[in-house]
Amino acid sequence: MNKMQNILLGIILFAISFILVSNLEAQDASNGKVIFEKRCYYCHGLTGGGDGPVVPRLDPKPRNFQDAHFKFRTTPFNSLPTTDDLVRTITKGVPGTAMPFFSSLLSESEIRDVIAHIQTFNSRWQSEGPGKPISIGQEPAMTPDTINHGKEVFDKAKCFVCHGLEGRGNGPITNTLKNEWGFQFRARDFTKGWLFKRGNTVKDIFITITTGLNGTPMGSFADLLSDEERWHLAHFVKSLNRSQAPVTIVGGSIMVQSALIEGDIPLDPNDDNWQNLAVSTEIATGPQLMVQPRQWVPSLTSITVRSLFNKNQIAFLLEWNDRTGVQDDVFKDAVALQFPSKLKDGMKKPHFAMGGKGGSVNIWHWKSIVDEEAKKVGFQNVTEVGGGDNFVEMNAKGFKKRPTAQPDESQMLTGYAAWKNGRWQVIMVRDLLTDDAKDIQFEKNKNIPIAFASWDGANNDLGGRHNVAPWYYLLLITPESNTKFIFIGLAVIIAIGAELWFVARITRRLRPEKGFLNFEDKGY
Amino acid sequence: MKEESTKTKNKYLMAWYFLTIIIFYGVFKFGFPVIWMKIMGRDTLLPTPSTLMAWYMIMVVVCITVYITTSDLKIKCFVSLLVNNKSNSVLQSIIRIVILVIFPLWIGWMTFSSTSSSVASPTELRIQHPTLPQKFESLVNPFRHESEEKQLIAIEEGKILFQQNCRPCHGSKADGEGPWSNTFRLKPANFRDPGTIGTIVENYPVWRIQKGGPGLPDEATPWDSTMPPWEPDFTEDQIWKIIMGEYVTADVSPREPEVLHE
Repeated sequence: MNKMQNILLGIILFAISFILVSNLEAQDASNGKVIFEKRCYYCHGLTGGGDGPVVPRLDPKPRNFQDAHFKFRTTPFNSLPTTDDLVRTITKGVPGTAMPFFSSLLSESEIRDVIAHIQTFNSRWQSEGPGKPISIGQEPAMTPDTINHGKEVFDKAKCFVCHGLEGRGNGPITNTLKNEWGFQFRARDFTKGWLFKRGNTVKDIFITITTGLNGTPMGSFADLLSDEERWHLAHFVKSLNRSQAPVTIVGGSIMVQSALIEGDIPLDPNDDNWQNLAVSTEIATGPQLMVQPRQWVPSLTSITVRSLFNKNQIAFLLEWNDRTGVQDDVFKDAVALQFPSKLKDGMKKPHFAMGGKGGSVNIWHWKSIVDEEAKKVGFQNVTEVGGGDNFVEMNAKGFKKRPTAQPDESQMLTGYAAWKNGRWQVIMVRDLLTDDAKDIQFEKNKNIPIAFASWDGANNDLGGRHNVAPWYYLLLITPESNTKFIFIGLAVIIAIGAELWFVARITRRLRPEKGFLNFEDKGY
Repeated sequence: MKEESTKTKNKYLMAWYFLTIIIFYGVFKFGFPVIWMKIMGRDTLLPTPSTLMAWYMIMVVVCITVYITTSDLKIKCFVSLLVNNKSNSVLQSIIRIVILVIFPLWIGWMTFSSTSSSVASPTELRIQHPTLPQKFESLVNPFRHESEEKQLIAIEEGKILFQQNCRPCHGSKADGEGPWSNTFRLKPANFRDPGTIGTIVENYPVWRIQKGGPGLPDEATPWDSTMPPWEPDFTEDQIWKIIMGEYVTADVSPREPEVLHE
């Protein structure tokens, strides 16, 4: 009887534990399903097809889990990623895309539940499972030699065909690139390290070169290049991360400084005065979302601004990376600066989006004019010199009305523009002071609000569809005059005089014969 | 013997005076940020504001000056360090010279820094929660009286509208970490923070969504806000749906309006 009882008990316990364990496994994916349908489906779709309701407003498009092509893997090309790879992507998010970091919201076990659910969307997870992670080995030290060797590998492997000679993602075939689903695809701009999707450490870059990015033109170089060549190539790519991150990301100063220059303002952006005397500031630009037509999928991310002024004129050098330089009669590359028409006391300004009830704004607008000659050579070297029709001064008061160009006699803006190797360089020049009541007048050593906008013709930017940056401050800095050192000298001399007088006085008073220093006398 | 030692100590009173000021300055300037970071549980240092710094230092200087002027002896001891006395020790002479040299240099430095123009950005004060205009005060969420099922449908529709329109800045988690959150100078509001939409009645976001940045009063610096006025894009019902979806996405609930007993 006892024996039977024990056996029965054993069977019951076994059955209970079996049910518990199998339930636990099932719980994984079903809990993941709940989270997926609360947090993920808006982009990735209810059935993981990458077709959620937000998709039309996303670039790049979200992953289609039914296809099971994953970009960020430590496993070989065309294989499935490990669970840890997916945990990393969900935890850290993907910079420059709509994929957020979930570390602040989901625990790791919740993230693993979601992954268990994602793995139900394609049968490959059952049939083949994740690939075997590549061996990463030891990262060699980065030296000028390894970078130079990396540059040789860059040329040998023809990376420039997509990524461009200076690494701005502007290679000759960049316009024709498409991903597996037929969407336009752009090669990475190596100069902007903060936008690297997997991450911008040498190891991250090495893994991308080795594993490739499934579903994109970026293949795996594991068979073509040796381990050492790939490490050195990663060093070279890392060395191209040369753009400063925008001040709003790294928390720098929001001042755009204008430096005083003796003599004429150079119209060559590579002039020593532009490169060394002028202070460069990287301004982040984002999509114009204030009013229709909105730009949901911007292609430009920042503008570098430098400024110089002399006795009569002020000039701005605006530079931004644009992979193509492509434009047509309708969609053109363009850039604009915006100032309040009148400086107000205090911090009051017109609204940054073309003014409004707080006042009108003065806009300096440059747009590229299609050059038939340049079109023939594939826009690799568009050059426009001098002012003319493409530099326009405008005024606006609110985005309900279109900005209006000033009459011809008020047009004072001139400049220079060129596109080369994936970068526009535009110089705008105007007199510091004008007779026009609707123009901004530049006063020295005063904070002048300045805002920015840019258009990418290849991304169908037009009118309201563009990139913007809100108000920053411009400051025309005059060098310190030498008279100030006279004041400092005077202050020091007076201080020494006062000090000597004081010491002399107390020395006299503290003479022993006066009894001042004679503590015992007074019975202290 | 005991008397002798007190006297020797007192002779350095001025040195102790300046040392105390320097030590307190160090504590306020470098110690407090670390201490407050630990107490408040933050990741970054919490620097002492410069006006507070000035007040702290005034207090310190006043206190120790009061201490020094409590007796004639202390005053004498205090100034005696400046007197060149044959009986002074080497240390006393060194301290004396250091004080005499540093004083004019300090005055020169003060003149220098007050006359040089700095490139500091102007201070921009901003009221975060301006008062809700009267006409939005009386609005009532039309979905609150519907059946639970209809409310759930409205919330889901609102969540989708939120993800389509608000996500680029306010983030898909409603935590103010959308892909463009670091692009513009004013960071978008973090709705998961219990201090934002959790402390306001549902009507408030109707105003903010309809009128956007340009509809803010001057004290809330409307010119810097990148919040669009959505009035032309959405009906009032859609805006209510967005608000309900926003609260659910952020996992917080709106403040209940206060009831006036009649």
